[in-house]
Amino acid sequence: MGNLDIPRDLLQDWDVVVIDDEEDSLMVAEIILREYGANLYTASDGAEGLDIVRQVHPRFVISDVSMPVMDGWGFIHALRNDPDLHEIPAIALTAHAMIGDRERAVEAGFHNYLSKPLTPETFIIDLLNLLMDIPSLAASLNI
Amino acid sequence: MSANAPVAVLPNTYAPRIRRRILLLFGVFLVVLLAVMVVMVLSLLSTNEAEQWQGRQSEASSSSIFRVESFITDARERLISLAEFSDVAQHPDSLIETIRNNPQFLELLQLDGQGEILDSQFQDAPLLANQVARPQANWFARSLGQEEGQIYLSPIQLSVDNQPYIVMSAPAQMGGVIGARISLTVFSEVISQLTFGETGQAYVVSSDGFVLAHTDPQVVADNTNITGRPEFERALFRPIDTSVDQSLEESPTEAYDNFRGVPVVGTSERIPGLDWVIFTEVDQAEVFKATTTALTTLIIVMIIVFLVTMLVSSEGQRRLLFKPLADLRANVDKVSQGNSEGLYQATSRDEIGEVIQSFNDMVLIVNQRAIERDRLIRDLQAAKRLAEENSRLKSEFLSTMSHELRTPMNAIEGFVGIILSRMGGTDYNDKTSTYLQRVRANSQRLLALINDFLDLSRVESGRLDLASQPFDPVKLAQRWRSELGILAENKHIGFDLTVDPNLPKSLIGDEEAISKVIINLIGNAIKFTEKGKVTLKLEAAGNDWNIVVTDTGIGIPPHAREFVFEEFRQVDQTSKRKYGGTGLGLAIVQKYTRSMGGQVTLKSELGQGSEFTVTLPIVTVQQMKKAKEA
Repeated sequence: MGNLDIPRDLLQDWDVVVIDDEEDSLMVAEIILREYGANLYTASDGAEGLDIVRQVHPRFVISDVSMPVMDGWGFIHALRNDPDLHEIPAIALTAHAMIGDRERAVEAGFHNYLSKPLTPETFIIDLLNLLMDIPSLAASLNI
Repeated sequence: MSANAPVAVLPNTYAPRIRRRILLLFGVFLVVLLAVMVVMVLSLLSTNEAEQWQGRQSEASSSSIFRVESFITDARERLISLAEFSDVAQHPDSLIETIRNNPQFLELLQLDGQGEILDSQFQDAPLLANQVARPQANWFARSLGQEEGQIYLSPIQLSVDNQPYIVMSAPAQMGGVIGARISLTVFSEVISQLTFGETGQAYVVSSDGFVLAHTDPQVVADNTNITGRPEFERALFRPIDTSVDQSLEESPTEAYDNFRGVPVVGTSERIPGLDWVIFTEVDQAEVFKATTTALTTLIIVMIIVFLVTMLVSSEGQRRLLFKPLADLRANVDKVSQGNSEGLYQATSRDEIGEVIQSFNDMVLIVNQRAIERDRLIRDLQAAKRLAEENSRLKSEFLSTMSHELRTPMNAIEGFVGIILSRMGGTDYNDKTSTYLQRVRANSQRLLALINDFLDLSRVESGRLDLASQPFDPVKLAQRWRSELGILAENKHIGFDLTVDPNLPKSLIGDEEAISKVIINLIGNAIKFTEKGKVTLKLEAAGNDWNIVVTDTGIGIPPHAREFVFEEFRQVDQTSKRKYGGTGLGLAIVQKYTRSMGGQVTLKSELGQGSEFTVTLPIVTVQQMKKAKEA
């Protein structure tokens, strides 16, 4: 599937939480990440996502920003203010790259951001690039 | 008119100023007029008075001459009468009787042919009788043997006590001579009775300059001589008037300082047959007394007339001109301060009244217009708010729509991608794979259109928050060179990047916005270029820096250069079908550039290529710091 340069066990046995209110979007992310060995947990809003993160302590979180109940901004605020969870890396997911999104995301506490659409060709490469920039994860990536 | 508008209120001084000027002008005119009147009246008065005085003086003069002539004639007749009755034997008392009855005769003598005294009578002293060389004396020699009635008159002589006298002689009928010494003191008394006016005086002067008789006897007693005085010289050399009736003929009146130094108006006349001159003089002060009085009276009257006239005209001006003007001024001030209630109404139907009426009418009309205008402004403001609200709603709608459209598109894109990647290992010519590729291409195009829409709507709604972050323009250009390079490679055309070394290494701005500009320009250039290359050039240009994108593509015809920046406009519909694209790229470039305070220029030659230049202001970190400090 897709890019042959990236090993299929890149994320082998990693617990990853993806939060998105769009079921289809969530499914695409889930399919692709599972292709690379991740144990995937999904949530459809920030509050639910926070509960799951507390339970599983994932390696990293990918969260959409615009969601009902608790959006991505509320989620990251809660995450960063929780002493048990505040070190967990988080990547924002935006519907469309907007001017200032990156600054806003980083300012709010995300490590970086990814923009939709998520496709097998680009998603995992972009994700890998972002993960390489996070020292705590880069060392344990199966490359 | 807004009550808050600053109103410059002039100091209330203009009316008095113009009023003063009018009064001054009027006053000067009045003074000149009055002065001319005074001069005319005085000139008439003084001429009239001078004529009057001249008449009185001439009268006095003539009267004096008459008296002197009478005096001399009387003396002469008495002497001739004595000469007739010169027989001493028959009239022994004739001399003594004459002396007694005529005080002017100081001494009378009857001499025989040899000069011996036949009879001698005197009042004061026997001056003639005691003369030693009597027979040689003029009066005896001149009269002896002369015809009957011939009179000799001696020059004036003075007695030891300075009393003037003359000697008169006549041939006696019986032979010999009758001589008389005649006192001119009596003659002075005659003159002294001659008075006119308060200062009028007369005096008689002999041809050798001695004052014989004067209204003031002291002058004669002082033995005054006026030889050399101009009025005397003039009188001496004036020819004697020989006309029959001298009283009708007036001698010229002159104004001069007389021998006593008093300014007088005088006339002089010569007494016929005597070489004597009679002067009549009046002090100038008296002559012009009436004129002076008149002058004083006139000046006082004129000042009163002047003051009254000025007062009346001033008050008239105030009522006619300045009070209405002040009213108008007050109206203007009131209206200036936004109060158009209680304006002064015109009190007269003259020009100023009309102006006040017109002004008040105008205020009404202006107020109506202001109300109308305020209503229009309110309407316009409401319309503007509505338009802004509509625009906001439109942007919001577009944004929401784009989001709602993009969500399913993202899902389609994701799933098609997953299916295609799973089919990756099978036969690539499989028709299903081809069809899926077409589905993906179309969905990507739709997504691009939606994204462009969102970009545009965001700039137009003004919700674009431009960042002010430092960035490296060279790194930015290199990033897009590598990201977009694949597009050029696919079309087998070159993609060059050149950077001006003078460009600052760090600029302040919004990297994402600049990226959008670069992406759209490069994408556009590659799209319309079939062979050759596209060039991205960054250059410094004074206070600005330029992003220049050049291609060797089809170029843009001149008529299209105006509208290529408009939304959904390409050179023509065939090019749209042929080259694809949303038609929003250049519109996005222009709107983003303008929102960053820059501008886009276009140079193009049909068939040769195009050059787009985006000029942006250079803002460096140092400038930002300075601006913050300031």
